[in-house]
Amino acid sequence: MAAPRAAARRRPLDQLLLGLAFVAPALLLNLVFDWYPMFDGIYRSFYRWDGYSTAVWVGLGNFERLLNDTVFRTALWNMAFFLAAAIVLMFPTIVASVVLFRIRHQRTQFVYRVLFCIPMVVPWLVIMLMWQFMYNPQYGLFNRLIEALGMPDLTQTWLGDPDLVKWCLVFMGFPFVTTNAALIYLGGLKSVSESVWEAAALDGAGPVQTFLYLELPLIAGQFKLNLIGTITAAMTGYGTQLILTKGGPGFASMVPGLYMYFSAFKSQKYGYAASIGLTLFLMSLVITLLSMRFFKDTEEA
Amino acid sequence: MATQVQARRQRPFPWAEALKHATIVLVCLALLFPLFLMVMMSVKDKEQIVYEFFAIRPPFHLENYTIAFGYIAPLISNSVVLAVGSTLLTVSVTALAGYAFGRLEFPLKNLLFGILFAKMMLPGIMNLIPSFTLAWKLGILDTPLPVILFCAGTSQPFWVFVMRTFVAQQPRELFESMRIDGASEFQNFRYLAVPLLRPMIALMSINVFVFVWNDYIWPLVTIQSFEKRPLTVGLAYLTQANPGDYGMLTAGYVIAALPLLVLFFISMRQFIEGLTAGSIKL
Amino acid sequence: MSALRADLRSLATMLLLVATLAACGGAPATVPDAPTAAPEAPTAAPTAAPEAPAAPTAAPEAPTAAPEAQPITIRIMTWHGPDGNTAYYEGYKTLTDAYTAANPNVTFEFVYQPLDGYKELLDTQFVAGSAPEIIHMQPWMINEYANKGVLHNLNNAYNSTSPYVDGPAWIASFAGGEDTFAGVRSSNKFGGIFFVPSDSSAVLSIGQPFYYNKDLFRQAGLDPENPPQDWEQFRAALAALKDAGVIPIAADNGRWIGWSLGQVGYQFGERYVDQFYDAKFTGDRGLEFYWDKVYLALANGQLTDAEYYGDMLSLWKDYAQYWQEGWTGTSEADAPNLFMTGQAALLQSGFWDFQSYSALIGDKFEWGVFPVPVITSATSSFGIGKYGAPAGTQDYGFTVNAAVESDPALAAAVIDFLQYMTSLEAQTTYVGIAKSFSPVVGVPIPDEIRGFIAPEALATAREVVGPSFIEWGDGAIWPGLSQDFLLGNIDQAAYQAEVAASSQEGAKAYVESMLGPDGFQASIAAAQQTLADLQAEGASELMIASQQRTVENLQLRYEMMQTYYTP
Repeated sequence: MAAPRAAARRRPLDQLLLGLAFVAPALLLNLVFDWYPMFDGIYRSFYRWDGYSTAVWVGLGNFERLLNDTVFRTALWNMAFFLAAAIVLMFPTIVASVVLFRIRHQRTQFVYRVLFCIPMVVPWLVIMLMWQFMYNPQYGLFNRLIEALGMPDLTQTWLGDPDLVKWCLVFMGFPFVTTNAALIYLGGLKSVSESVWEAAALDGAGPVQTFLYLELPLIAGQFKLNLIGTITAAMTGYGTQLILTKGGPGFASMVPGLYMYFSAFKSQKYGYAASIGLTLFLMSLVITLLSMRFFKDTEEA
Repeated sequence: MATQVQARRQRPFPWAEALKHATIVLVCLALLFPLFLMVMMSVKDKEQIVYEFFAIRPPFHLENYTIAFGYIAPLISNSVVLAVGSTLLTVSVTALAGYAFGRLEFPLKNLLFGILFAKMMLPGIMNLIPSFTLAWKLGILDTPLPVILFCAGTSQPFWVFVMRTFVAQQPRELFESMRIDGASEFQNFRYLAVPLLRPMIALMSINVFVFVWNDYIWPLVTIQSFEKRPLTVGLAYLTQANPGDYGMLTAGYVIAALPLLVLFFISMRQFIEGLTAGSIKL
Repeated sequence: MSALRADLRSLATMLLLVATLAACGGAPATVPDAPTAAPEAPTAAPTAAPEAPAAPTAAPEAPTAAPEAQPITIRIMTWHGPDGNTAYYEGYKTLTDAYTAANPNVTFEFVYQPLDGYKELLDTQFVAGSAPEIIHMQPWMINEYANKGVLHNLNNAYNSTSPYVDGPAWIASFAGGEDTFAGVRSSNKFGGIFFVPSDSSAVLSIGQPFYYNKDLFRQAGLDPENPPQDWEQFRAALAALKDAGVIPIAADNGRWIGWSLGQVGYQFGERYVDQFYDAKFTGDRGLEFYWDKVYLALANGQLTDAEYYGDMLSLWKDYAQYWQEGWTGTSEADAPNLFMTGQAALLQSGFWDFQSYSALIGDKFEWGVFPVPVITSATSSFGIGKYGAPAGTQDYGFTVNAAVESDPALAAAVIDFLQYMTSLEAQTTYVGIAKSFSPVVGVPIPDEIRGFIAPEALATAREVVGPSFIEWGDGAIWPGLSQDFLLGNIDQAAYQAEVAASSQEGAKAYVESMLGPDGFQASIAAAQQTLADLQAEGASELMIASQQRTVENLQLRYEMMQTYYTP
């Protein structure tokens, strides 16, 4: 990226000072209140520690162990499934945002946007309860509907079925439109000049073509943002599993984040949990950087 | 100006517009269903929750609201202080940093950005005690500061990234023209970037606000005086006093959500203003 | 350049803004009428329930403590809150009010915290040194905090006289006496006692019974007034229920795994580990070494395979066919709904849920309670045929913050209050209000909760090893492995090998840490120091004798570990 002319005239020290003046507050807050407490967790990953007795230095022992841990391996595979699903399911949000963007009546659009935001006030607990009352094999809504349709053989045990459980958890994202992502796309589309669409309309581009060749490329930057958010969430998240399935049946829905949580708070292996956390961190970082590289390459191509 | 542009984009098929509305309405219905369910739950007693979760029929237990209100009401103003303070600080430092990372060139830029960026992927389930120890050593316990400062420290990485992307996307000429007029970089930020970023600032504010609004454990441990604690503590008391009474608890959630709804309307207005500001360029 | 200066100036303005903001935020936000601020006495002064025999009408009078005048505030942290239906809190409040009435210089503050966040709050308060003087703790919390060294060792207090009980020592006033604390002593590294028991009893076998739906029993052709007593009858009843199209038992994917394993497992392997140890570690005093014996046996790989495991595990797996379909997808919060909605015939739960279930079920169906059936020789030749001895050991209650040690007057007042609280009169008042059990000799049992006590004649098994090799394993793994085993995804041999390996590893780590410098060596030195101090102070013979016993006990435990551990 070429430096702006004005900046180029400055000496590096001035540039640095100017840059620091802007980023220092954020950086300092982040270093002091986020990174610093986190180091406790990072250095624990080289110890065996139960939370109260003296921590024992084990070097890379925890990581070695992690390599041979079959539960962790299962958890990684499950994570890969959830990650793939999360990436594929980013697309309904893109479509919804574009459709919303194309609604011309600004007042209506405003109302829709507010409606998109409102689900953020619904607490996790209510969502969990709702799905519990839908998935429950005995009194849940789904099985009752299936029975009402006269197909009692098709009833499922849903979360209790090792083959279905991951799909069930993924389906809890229905309708797969995320408020934040949608509004970020919308912001991206809105910041592009209207004239671009006018030109497209003059060229006689249909709605699908406009979507593929105009809107989609325009929000590539926003897509990248949301992709990274999605990757991070899918790789480190575990809340739903903790409440609904405990990683089961067996380990069918176990994910690394939940395994880390259990290792710390159920078996008091704080050092081991920290090493899982650090491993997850490195993996997310690599995958994120790879995906960014991939997009950079495709953009340049 | 904007309306003129739209008038020209009018298409001959009204059903195309109808289809768009239908799609969005369907999405909204699906998105809002949990909220609807939440309101319905909030007027049910324990028995109705267990025996008829999806049914809507009287009696409606409005007393859930009066009881829940008693727990939450005295703490709402504390939550407002915490959430407003956290949002203001977090948003201002984030916008500044996002602008610099997206706009300026300076040594160490990539390294400094990397520090923020990497933090996004580090799961932090075990830093409660280290964080608390830090807040204690700083002597800021029992004030809103731990909530505000730690929020500003932990919740910005993703949003710095968002701001950076939006700033970097803008045509360089826009800033160049101002620069030539002798505007300082800060004036650039204040008069060009902030209006441009307004939609994202609004969105970020909502996110940070909602996060602090719903946070429980951290304010609980750092604020010892009950009368300074946020409303989530009231919700926890409500839960413990009425075990398994999801109707009552949900009523509490509904009450807690009302200020958020007001906030959404306000920030979405910002969003619209941001859009008009956005069309200034070029 | 001027632009740069302008930038820096603007930045300074920003920072000033932030500082102002922070200052505003720092202003105290006062809110009147907060629920816990200065808890007031419950409105209706709760007099003892009429059915509680010989309950005094007024709270018993507490004699004044020896040291006078200095105003003392004692904070009591508990999860039993001041709201509406928490009778426990009302009970405690009655006792503190009575104590203050007798000792006007001592006042109490309740620090109420719901269980959600309780541990986090406590952890951080210990860090900041602001933890309350008296802290209610659940069983699993006590050892952790005791081993961290933040709790006051009550050993000496227990062996001193209490002004509220006749006899040589406070400890004798607890039902079962000093023996019931043996297990507790050996489960922490100091060999001390760190809590005053509450709401429980070491001499009653208070089970977690089955709540059962009598209507469904009738529907399945079972006699609802004669619930099953042994496992054979139980299995027949479950099969009959299943044949009648009823879900026999409401299971869940959380606590139920451990609970169901406990129901079956702790009916096997009484004193099983004793075979590995010398006579001086077994027999009557065996309980004092129980935890160490099990840890050692696990660490030495002696519990990888026991002859009763086969029967125990296949019985458990057989039991699982009577749980609802898809139970692995049913959360703890969800499972009770199956019972409430009349779809499942049985649900296991504790006595504390009695009130809420009564209210919720109302007259929807008729229901009752029966204890977990006994596994006799008819089911397995290894079955013990009786229940575990009434806990045999105290398990939870009020701990004292070690910080009180720096203020002798405060420490004395705290101990005096705890002694008052566990006096016969105070406890009688308390259980009448709270409808709870009491650890103290001679306190009547409220009628409402009598049904939760297992038959006395059957409750005699001691030091039951049962499924320790599973439950003492890695808590992140064994529940999932158990699900796989119960669902038939892995066979018994593989399951047994994996869980045993996991618990062996954990036990090895524990034993090695106890053999290390921070383990027994340190705690023996500390206990010897205490003994020397007591002797120097001219403490009572009883106290000295008890401390000598602590030292001796720790030395024996150390010796046992050194002798038997094979790395």
